[in-house]
Amino acid sequence: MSMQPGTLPWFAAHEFRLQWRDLSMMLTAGAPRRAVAIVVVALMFMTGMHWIASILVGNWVAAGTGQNVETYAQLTGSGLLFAAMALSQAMESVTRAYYSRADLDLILSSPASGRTLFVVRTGTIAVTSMLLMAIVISPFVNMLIVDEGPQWLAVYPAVAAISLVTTALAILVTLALFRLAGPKRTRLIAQILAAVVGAALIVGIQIAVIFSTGTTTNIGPALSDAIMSVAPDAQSWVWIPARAAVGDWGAMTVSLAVAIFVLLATLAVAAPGFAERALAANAVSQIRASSHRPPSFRTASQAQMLRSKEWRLLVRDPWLISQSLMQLLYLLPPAILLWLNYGNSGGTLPIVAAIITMAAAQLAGGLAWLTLSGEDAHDLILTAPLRARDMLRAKIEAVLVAIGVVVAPFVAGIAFLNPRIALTLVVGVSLATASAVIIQLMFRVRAKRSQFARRQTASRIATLLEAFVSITWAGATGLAAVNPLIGPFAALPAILIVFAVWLLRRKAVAA
Amino acid sequence: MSDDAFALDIKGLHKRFDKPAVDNLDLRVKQGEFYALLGPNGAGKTTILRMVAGLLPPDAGEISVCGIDTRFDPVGAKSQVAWVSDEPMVYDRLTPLEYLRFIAGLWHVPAEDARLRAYQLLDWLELTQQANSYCGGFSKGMLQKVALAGALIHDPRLIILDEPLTGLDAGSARQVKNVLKEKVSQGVTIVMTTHILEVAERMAERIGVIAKGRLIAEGTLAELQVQAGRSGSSLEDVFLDLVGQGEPQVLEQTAA
Repeated sequence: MSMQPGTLPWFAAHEFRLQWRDLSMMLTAGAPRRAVAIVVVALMFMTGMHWIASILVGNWVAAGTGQNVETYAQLTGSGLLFAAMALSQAMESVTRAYYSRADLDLILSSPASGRTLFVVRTGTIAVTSMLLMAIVISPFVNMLIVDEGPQWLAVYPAVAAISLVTTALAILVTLALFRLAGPKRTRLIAQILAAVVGAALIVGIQIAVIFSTGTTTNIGPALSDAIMSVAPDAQSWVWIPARAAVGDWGAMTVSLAVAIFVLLATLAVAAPGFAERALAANAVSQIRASSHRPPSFRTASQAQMLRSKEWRLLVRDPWLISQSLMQLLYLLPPAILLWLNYGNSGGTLPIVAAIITMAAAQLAGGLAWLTLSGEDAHDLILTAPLRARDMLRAKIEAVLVAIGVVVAPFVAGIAFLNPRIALTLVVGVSLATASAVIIQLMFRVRAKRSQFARRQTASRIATLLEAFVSITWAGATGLAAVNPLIGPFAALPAILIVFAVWLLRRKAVAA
Repeated sequence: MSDDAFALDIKGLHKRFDKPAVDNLDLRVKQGEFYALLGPNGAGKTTILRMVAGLLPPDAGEISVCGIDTRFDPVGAKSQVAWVSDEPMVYDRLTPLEYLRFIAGLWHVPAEDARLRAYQLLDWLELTQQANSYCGGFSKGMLQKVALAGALIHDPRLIILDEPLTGLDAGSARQVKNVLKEKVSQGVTIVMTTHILEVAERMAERIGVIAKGRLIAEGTLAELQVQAGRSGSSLEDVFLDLVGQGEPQVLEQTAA
């Protein structure tokens, strides 16, 4: 059945087709035969997740669930965590809807309605968010159904309500930014906000618990006590979403009705001006600037020039700024812990060392991708009269120095309290950074810096290895801070993985 | 003629992807010559230029740049060459002055010379107003002029240009052409691919025609006319005859 071109269903079908092709391309990288491997890996992953979920859910069910304030509080807390992540994702997607020029110029220059396009793209964002959250929570819901019964299927409509509301919120925040900051700055601020929002709730909880207990080891009980002391009774409207999640039909109807109303009202406000805002976003270049000081021409080596270019581009990269802010935000709780334990930190410093190692490795991975893969002028660098080895060395040095600058204040603070742990941290960060750089070096691709946000999906193996190695180095550093003899053993998996990557990929990279 | 009288000397060059892209190519371009390389899409022009610029290793054959064999001294050869592609190789978040300083550093241009040349080039290409703005907001023509300034700042002896006029407006194209003519008058060698045959006809001293990775004809326009047996014809007619594309079919005939 053919649809009337330009109508909502027609645009929806068009969007669905594009999304589906993007997804299959992302998963199979253009090789349909890989689909079988992807399905097998996905099944294995989901099996593993179900196993983990069975343990977690089993403990939770054993502790007793029911239509009581404690269960509602736990569900509401989990819902807020998901909502923060969904909001972060939605803000990024909404910003892209305004600023991505992929087909916007084509569609907005056609007689088709920009309003219809916006409604369809908003719907796509909401549906994508719903599906992602549903996939993430499905092992837990399935185990709850096994343990307690089908009433837990009600979690899915509750998740749908969260997705609708967070999508609406993302649109409203973007609109507010357009009004307050103007189209020129909206994109950068929204990107930073999205990163911060994604991490804010977890970090906020950690900080609150640290201030009240002086440690992060008892977050669960501490948080539970704090919430239960101020929680309203079970019939309060505060628990409506949680009651919806446990199968209360009335609460579910209210939750979905409110969520749908909020999204429709937001669309009514935002859709009419979409075309104008998108055109305004197109009209300004968010990276145009006219007030830079002329650079000084100094005699410098090729390596110095390369390093200087990399640092200049790194500090001017909005994606990197937002990602780094998020990394720094994650470092905030350990920093506060350090401050609170000043002079008496024997027990908490290993945790701080582990977290800093983890953050440094993740940041190093990002920076290494930007310098090694995200080179906007590959051909220019390759035609320059310098050896490839020297070029790579200069770029890697740029990453190492940048990590050193970020981590140095933390090392200095810890050195003041415990020089041995500071030394352990320096070794841990150095090896974790080196591992991240080696992985990026071995999996380097030819890409544009603007593709930074999608680097995880572009090379899934590199991302997984990088995450695994970061976690292993973080754990090894923490353990080495407690007992220097244990650390090296804990680091063995990371060393083996990096060695294996080097062994397997070096020929491909050299070619 | 001695070998170093040639800015570019290619012997028996081979490159194969799925099928041969460059097939036993011999090509010589004299110092100070403006040489245009023409050919239909997929003929192998860009592959040849990328091998000369050191961006692609040949499967077989020799390439000498100003007497320097690229196999034995690739860095030395690169120091003589500038490469300008149809996609300007610039950084969104560097200003033209920062970009030129960066390139000057890579090619070992002394700082004071680099500074003077950078301002001269920006003035010459009418980019002084934008000297301290990020390149990210520039039009295609401005980006191509920044890339050209980058190619010229280290005073190369051989400039390789792959479709440098693609997407430029008439004013920018005129400026780029004037700059290239000026460089040739200073003794710089230029090898350029273009689909704008009028540019090749007006600017090039010699023209090489490539098809299926082979050099099928070479010479001045008059020599090409003789080779194609079409005296007095335009380069377009000569070119289409040489590459066997002849007269385009009429739409109605195709439809029928």
